Amino acid sequence: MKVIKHVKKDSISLVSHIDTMRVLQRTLVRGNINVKFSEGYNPHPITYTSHPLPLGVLSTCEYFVLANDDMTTDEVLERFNDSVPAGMKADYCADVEKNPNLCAKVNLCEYFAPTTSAIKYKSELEEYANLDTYEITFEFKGNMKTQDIAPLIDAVRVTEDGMYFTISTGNPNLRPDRLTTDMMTKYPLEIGSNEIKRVNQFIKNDDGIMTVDEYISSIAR
Amino acid sequence: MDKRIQKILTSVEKPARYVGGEFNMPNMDKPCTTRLCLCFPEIYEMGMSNIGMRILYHMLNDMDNIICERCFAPFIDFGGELLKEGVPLFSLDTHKSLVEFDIVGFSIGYEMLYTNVLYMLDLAGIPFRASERVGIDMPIIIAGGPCVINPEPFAELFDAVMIGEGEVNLKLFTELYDQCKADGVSREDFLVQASKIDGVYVPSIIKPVYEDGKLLPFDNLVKRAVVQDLDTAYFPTKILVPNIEITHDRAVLELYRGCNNGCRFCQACFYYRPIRSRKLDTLLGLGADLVAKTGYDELSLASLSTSDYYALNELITGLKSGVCSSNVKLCMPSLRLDTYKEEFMGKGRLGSITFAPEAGSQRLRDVINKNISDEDITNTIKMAIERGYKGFKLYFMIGLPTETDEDLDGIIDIINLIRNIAREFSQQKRPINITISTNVFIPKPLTPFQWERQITREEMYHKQDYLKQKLQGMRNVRYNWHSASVSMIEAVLARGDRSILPVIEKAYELGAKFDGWSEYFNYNTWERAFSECGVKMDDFVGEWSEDEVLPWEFIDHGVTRKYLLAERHKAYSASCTPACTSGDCRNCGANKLGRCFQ
Repeated sequence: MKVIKHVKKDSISLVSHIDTMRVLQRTLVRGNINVKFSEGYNPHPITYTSHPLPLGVLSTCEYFVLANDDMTTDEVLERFNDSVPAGMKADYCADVEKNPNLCAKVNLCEYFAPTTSAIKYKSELEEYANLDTYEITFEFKGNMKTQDIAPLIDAVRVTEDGMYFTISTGNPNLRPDRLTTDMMTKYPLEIGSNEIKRVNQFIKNDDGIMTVDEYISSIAR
Repeated sequence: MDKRIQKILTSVEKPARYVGGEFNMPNMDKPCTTRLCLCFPEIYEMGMSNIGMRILYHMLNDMDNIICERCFAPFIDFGGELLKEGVPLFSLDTHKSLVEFDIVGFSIGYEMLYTNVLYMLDLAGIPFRASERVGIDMPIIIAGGPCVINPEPFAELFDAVMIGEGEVNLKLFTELYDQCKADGVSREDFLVQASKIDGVYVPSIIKPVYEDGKLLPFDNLVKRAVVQDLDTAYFPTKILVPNIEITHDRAVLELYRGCNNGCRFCQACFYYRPIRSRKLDTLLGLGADLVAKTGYDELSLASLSTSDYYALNELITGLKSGVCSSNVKLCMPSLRLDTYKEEFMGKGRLGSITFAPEAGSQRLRDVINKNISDEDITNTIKMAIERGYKGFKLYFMIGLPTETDEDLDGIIDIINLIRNIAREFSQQKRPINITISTNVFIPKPLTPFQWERQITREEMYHKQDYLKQKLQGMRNVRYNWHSASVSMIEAVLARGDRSILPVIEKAYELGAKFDGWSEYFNYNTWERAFSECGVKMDDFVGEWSEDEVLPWEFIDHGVTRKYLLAERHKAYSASCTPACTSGDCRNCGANKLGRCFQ
């Protein structure tokens, strides 16, 4: 198995997760990267990704896993980068024994929202991580829905450049734009709608917390 | 990217439609003296599926000093937001507003897209009519695509109209523009020079003249431009691969242009003549290259009648043993019933198979020169059922010249034939599903039926009701029919003259756009537009006298009026004209534009 870490930026960030999967599969064909196929009635390449990125959110840390054991990591990385659309270039490729199952393991993601005005409200924004309960209301599939997001906010850190926040991903899940939208109703933050960026993915369990990069390094062959 | 655009993008459906960034995007930073924008008046998913757009976009970008970008009709939500935010319509590739281009070209493939051309011009802040753009700094606005067979309803919108194949006339037009721009030639003088290129029609130079309400014969003819040697003609393989799913999301291999069958209702058949093919080896090479450079896992074959390609068996065998041998699927288009062979049929778990008999009775099929016998239909149905197909999709037309209710009964006879054969030969436990679709016949320009009338809406409803009644109670048979109102407007727009443009403008003003979408088409809007402009629809859908000059007869499309008339007369005696084959020319006239069967 190979794990590729790639970015998702510029216009490609406006491509949905399901379309991104198709883009990645075509990348493999163009790059002539061998991938094992499933053996069912409709064979399809065996690939996995980390948690879907909400539409319009950028990322520097997306993970794509593919069933390939007969090429070197350098070869896969070079071919991938030659064949992927601009905005999805990969940083590294690691060789692992089996599917690291990132969708099941990753439960926290850190995002960055660029806004120079956040520093003025540093303490108020960082307080979001310490709330016991905090309900927001948003539109979901045509209906209004209420969600208590307090338990889903792990950390908020404000710098001169903007705000970093770490929130639950997977199940339960908090969309980053729902949090920033709520913050913007209270403070004049001016966060652009296509500017939030996922910067880190974490695995948190009883043993502690580690980044996905650290986890992949620990299992790489 | 403009912050306002960014804001809009995250609030609309499928924002990837508007931002480009696909794989294989040409270099948009190369030195450039002339910048074009190719527009398609439909949404991204439809426009990106258009093979003509693909060819011209890449051809222009491969030219020195030329950059070509794209723009598709923004869907209702995005268009509304652009208006609200005051952002003019922009290109996908570099997000430039359309007014910043030297040339803006529209590809018009369907009459019901005319209001979308206005919609795009409106959003771009470009005055509609060419005459309104004189003396102001605006791009040259041009049109091309199949609807230019009769460009008169929209001619006055454009500075120039490309008649024929863009690989020839658009290339020459762009080169001339580039040269004239460098030489400081005025817009008006450039258009005069451009009008001398074969296949370039400048509506401000050639104008129709009427006397006592009758159109007078034209002094100058515009000769349609055609590619002389298709085998060596430009065909891109390093094509854009969309990031979102489009309507025809696969690699497409164009086998040949033109059609040798001569069905008398079919505009494409006569328009795309002469018949020119790509060689087998060329196609095998292009197919492999397409898949390698795009990563598509489906390859389809395109032409007007794929089963008539001279080496189809060898092509299928070659593709299946080559590029389509593993994990790349070869998609066959719908094929003619008379040339269908067992090897074209699918394998494994089979779904439904599609055919277009067009008319139910043998007599009517002879009238339209379909050249399909009852025996062909029986044999192919039997072959398909024995192979294991679970369903049939059949396309018919209603309202064909000389059609009676007995001919409609022929459609029912074909359904019964399928059911009987299925009972006898099917290995399936489940019954065969049959879907019947009927379109209303539209007497389109450049066909032997161009002088015919279109049936009235009442007659359309009668025929649809007649079929519904006959199909009532037939299990596993589904009937779909095309809207009578849309067919009526489509006929008027296809056969109209310059008096139609005010109606299109009025309809747009009253809210018409995306008229090709049943959920957005509103007949009342069009009816009101015709009424307010004082134009009668009946003047354009009735039968025309054979000695009348027709609005599009200033164009030399190759196929002659004499040939079309002879075919019309043969139709009335249900007499067929066999398909053209090399060495057996029917003298339709197309070969004066280029040699058939190279």
